[in-house]
Amino acid sequence: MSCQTLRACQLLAMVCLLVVAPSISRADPLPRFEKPILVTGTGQTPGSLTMTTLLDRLGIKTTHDPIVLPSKMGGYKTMIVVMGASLKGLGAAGINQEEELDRDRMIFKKARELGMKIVAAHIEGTARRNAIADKFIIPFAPQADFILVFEEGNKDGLFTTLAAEKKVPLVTFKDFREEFANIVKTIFP
Amino acid sequence: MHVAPRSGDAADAPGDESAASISHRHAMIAWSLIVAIVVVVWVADKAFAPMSRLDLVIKGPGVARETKLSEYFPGLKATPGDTDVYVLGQDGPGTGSVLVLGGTHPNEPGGYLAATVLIEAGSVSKGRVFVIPFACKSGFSHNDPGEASPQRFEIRARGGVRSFRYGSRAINPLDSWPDPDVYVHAQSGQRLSGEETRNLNRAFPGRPNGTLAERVAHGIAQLILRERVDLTIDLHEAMPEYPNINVIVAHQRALPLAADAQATMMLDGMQISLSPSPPRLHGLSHRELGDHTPTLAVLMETPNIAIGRLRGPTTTATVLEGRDPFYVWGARLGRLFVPFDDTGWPLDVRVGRHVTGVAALVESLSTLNPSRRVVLKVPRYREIVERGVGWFLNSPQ
Ligand SMILES: [Zn+2]
Repeated sequence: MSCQTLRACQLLAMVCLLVVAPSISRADPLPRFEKPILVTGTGQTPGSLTMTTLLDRLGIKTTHDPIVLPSKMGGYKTMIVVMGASLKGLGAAGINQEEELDRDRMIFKKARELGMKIVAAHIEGTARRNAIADKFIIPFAPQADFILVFEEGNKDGLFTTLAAEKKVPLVTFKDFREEFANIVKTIFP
Repeated sequence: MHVAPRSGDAADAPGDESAASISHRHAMIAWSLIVAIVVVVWVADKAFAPMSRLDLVIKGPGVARETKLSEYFPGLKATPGDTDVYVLGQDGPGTGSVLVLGGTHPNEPGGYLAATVLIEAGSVSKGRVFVIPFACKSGFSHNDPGEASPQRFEIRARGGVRSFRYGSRAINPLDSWPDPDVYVHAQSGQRLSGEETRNLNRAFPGRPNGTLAERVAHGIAQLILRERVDLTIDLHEAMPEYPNINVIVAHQRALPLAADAQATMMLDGMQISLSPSPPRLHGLSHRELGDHTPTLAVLMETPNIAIGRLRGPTTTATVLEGRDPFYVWGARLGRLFVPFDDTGWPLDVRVGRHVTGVAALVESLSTLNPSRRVVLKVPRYREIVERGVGWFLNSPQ
């Protein structure tokens, strides 16, 4: 290949990049959420601790309070709510489902009053999809500003239906190493 | 020639047979019966005696010391509860120690094979790792009636075939009998069905003068106290229709460490849940060892269909390959707590998960508590799944 052809190729590649790159970022449907971030959960799922730890490992600092009360929600811009319940956890720990549902309703109401953005997440897959967990998902997912779901937990399409109900943007991911990491790094810049 | 009358002819036997001849005949019958009994007992003994011997573990170069649980609780000496303890690595300043339990339930091979892989292929360059591969030794000497469990299963190792026993969830009734109607957990007063008396994972923290299960549990607790074990990992398996599966169950003090290890595993592409140890469920290792000793206590579960209720025929393939069309059907009906398709949950995958989990937990211990560092090198998940567990077991020759 001659030197000139090589130059032309390089030029062409650069032009392509200039044209294509902005269109990729425009097509990017992911919203952005501001810090500081509060991480909690519905159904007292241990998944909220998992979420905080995952984000911490990806360099995103958050405050974790699994059973936060409305009085302690001041000062945050974003609330991540991990939804679900462990069947064994709730029963054996003697947590009252109705009381927990009340707390969950209160924190959603308070977040709205404080003007916080809400990211609802389900990250635990099949293990945390059951009749009880659904009680802590169905009322809350449609109230969020964004829903983030590990695909394995959306096999029955529940989250897709809930997101469509109130036109909440939904993103699903298949793995944590790449997809999840890329999504959270984008939405929590 | 004299022909002895058949028993059916006894009524019309000739009356002229002498008393001496009758007594001689009776003596002959008695002696033949005695000989027959001795032969049957001898054959049965030969068949059953090896059942109480533990499976072969061929320690690798990482093992620094080998001992018995009775070193920590002499009350176990010469009992069916005295099991082998392997120590990898050396004690030293600024190092910690970890205990791995396999075979707490001897019908959960993912746990005891992962422990065996640690002994045969693991190495420790800082701190110590104690491994008890067959924690409930007595439970390996029988299996559960009515479950159709295979007695043994074989794994092709490098240079030969290795055979492992498929045991029972509980201690052998020959070693601990009879069961009470109700099992009362000594420390909490919790009441369970009588057969749970023989379940090691309902006996923690144990008692020196209790049942065999309680004495084994006491021995384990004594090891933890004497060796200052920072982290205790109990390896189990569960049925896919059970909610706590592919999970790390952690005592409340161990939750941050377990979450850190979980993040390592998830960011490395392995899905695993986290579950806090229920405070009201007593006798379990993650609850009682955490409450009664300073150790950080966790338990891990992988899916084993050979103990599941939805399974079809139970063969060695059920144990090794973990495939079953009824479970695929169960998954389609949304009845399972793990994904389940035609690939099933092979033993290689389950052992790979446990070994990876142990490595991640040990790494998190070192990160979160650098003064109690333990550096453990084990085969990687990919290697175990691609080459099979047998590759990491030593040759029986
Ligand atoms: Zn078990």
